[in-house]
This record gives sequence, C-alpha cells and structure tokens, in this order.
Amino acid sequence: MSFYSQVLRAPDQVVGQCFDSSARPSIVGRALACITLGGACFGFAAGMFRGWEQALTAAAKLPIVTLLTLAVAGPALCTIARAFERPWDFATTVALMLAAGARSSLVLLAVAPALGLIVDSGFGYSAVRLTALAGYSLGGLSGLSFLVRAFGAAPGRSGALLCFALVFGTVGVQSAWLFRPFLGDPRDAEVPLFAHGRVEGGMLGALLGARHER
Amino acid sequence: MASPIARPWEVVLERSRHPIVERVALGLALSALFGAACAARHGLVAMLVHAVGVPLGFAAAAGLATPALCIGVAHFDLPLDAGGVGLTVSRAIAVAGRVMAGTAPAVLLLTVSVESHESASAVAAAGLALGGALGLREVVRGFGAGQRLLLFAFVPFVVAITARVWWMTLPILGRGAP
Repeated sequence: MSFYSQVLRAPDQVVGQCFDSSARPSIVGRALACITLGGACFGFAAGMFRGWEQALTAAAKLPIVTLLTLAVAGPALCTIARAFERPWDFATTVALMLAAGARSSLVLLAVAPALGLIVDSGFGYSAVRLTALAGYSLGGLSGLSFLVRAFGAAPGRSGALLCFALVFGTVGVQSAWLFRPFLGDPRDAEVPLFAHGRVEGGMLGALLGARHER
Repeated sequence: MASPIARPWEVVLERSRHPIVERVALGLALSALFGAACAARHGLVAMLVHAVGVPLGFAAAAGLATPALCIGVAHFDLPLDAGGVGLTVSRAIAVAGRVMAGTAPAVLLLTVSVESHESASAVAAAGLALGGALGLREVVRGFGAGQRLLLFAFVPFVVAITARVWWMTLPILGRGAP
C-alpha cells in the first residue's frame, strides 16, 4: 500500500512508522508533497472566484499557510505530548504532524472540485467563503483524527488533544488571516496580494462581515 | 502510541546530584523564553521585563505556597515526605516551563501579528494559563490520595499568587507596554 493510500485507509500503520527513524524520511517527503498539492488545488479552486490570477496566487499561498502553521505549532505538540506522558522526540513529532497534515491535505484535494463547482455555479461571496471554511474544517478534522490515533488510548489523550487543538486552531486561523485574501473581496476593484494595513477585527470580524480601512 | 525516548538533558537531570535545583532552573529558564516571546510586540525592553516576570510568578508560587502546603499537611497529621514535595514541585515547574517554551513560537506569531493590544493580552494570558494548568496537573498527580483533599485549598492559593505576581510584573496583561 502506498503512503497516500495508507494515511487514509490505515493511519495506525503510518503512526507506527513515524516512530521508526528509518521510515521517517520517506514519510516526511511524501507528506510535504501531499500538503503542497492538496493546499495548492484547494487554494486554486477558492481563488477562481476572482479569476485566474487570484487562483494562482491563492494556490501558492495556501500550502505556505499550512506549513507555517505546522512549523509554529510543532514545538507545542512536542511539549504538550511530553506533559501528558507521551515522550515523543522532536523528529517523531515532526513526522506525526506532517503525516496528519498530509491526511488533511488529501481531504482538501478531494473537496477542491466541489468548491470549484460552487464557484463556477455563480454563488455569492459569503456562500463561497463559508463553503471554503467548511472544506478546510473537514480537512482539519481528518488531520485531528490522525493525531487522536497517535496519542493512543492511554490516559491524558483528551487533555492533550484539547490543549493542542487550542494552540493549533489559533495559530492556523491567524496564519490564514495573515496571508489573506484567498477568495478576493468583491468590493476590491483589484485584489491585493496581501491585505496588510487593513483593520478588519481579525478572523471573527471578517466572518461577521465587518470591514474598515485604516 | 508512546515510545520511551530519553532526551539528553533528561539524562543529565537523572544523573544530577541536585535534580530539584536543576529542574527548577530549567523550568524557569524555559518560561523566560515564553515571557520574551509574548512581549515581542512592544520591543526589547518589554521582552526583558516579561522574561523576568514570567519565571518570577512560578518562583513566587513555589516559594510561598509550598511551605504553606507542608504546614497544612503537618497540621492534619498526614504523612509528608519533604523531599518528595520538592521533587513534585520542581517537576511541575519544569513541565510548565517546557510547555511554555513549546508554545512560545505560536505566541510570538500571534502577539506580533494580531491587530489589537487586547487580543495580544488574551493570547499571552491563554499561554500562561495553559502552562500553569499543566504544571498544576503535575502537582496534583504527584500527591497521594490523602493529601489531595488539601489541594482544594492549595490550588486556588497557587493560582491566586501566580496571577497576582504576573498581573504586577507583566504589563502586557493589561497595563500596557513598559
């Protein structure tokens, strides 16, 4: 079974391989490929809302957001796991995180055509934005289910997952916020590469539709 | 799935003649990293102030609450191993420091990039709460069933002392940057 099939069908086996130092390099390489491809396709589908140029920009930005989130939250996973009696070393933690990222990115790859269909069907900005958010959340849940297996059945699993989900979720939302726009606000005549300089009340404010110019 | 992989510094601690002192020093040093990260938004001076303030909270809590707990245990004539209490508290500080050092990159990204100072304060407070809670968990796990009843008084006391010290020494929690 290939890594791509294994991470979806038999995640427990991939978890086991992450603890094997000889199997880690191939897991890391393939996981990075999944994250790049899945994120790029999902970003491309989302960016099509404002045309080819925005599609290519979003395709480049989304994998960077995922990798930035994984890089920043990685040390937190390692230390939180150790606090809950999972003595993972850093290399194991990185392999587990990337494999979880690969699983969620494969889900994004599957969701991308559906998102593209919604964009192509002429739905409005809010509908596309919420669909993209739902698709990304679905991918996140799939990655989280991989980590649930990695934490095993020993006591402390729920606490560790809760603590890590808090850190990872906050960092993920903020990273996406920093690299916005992905869809491109219809009120912008020309979609900027980055929306720095705008005060929009953070991710929550954006979801509620608030927008103010600095 | 867990694998018992020992880290070099943990091996050093196991072989150490002063494991309590070294664990405390390690925990305090790692928590200082968190302090520096959470104040990066306000510049170098603020980073230094917070790098001192965060470990100070742990030091104050351990220094003031541990003797109080020992007196409480003795007052109720419960068995007490002073060395064991020291080890438990030092392990708790090390766990809290390690978790805080692990979350420091996330806190750095968030506090530097969020739009409002209030959001930065909330992020810093959440990081302090997470590290502190996991440290307290280690203390609770380290005590026997008979002594756990006393922890109902000990835990709020530790939380109150630590929160008070952090409130006084960490301007990011609401008093603005130094």
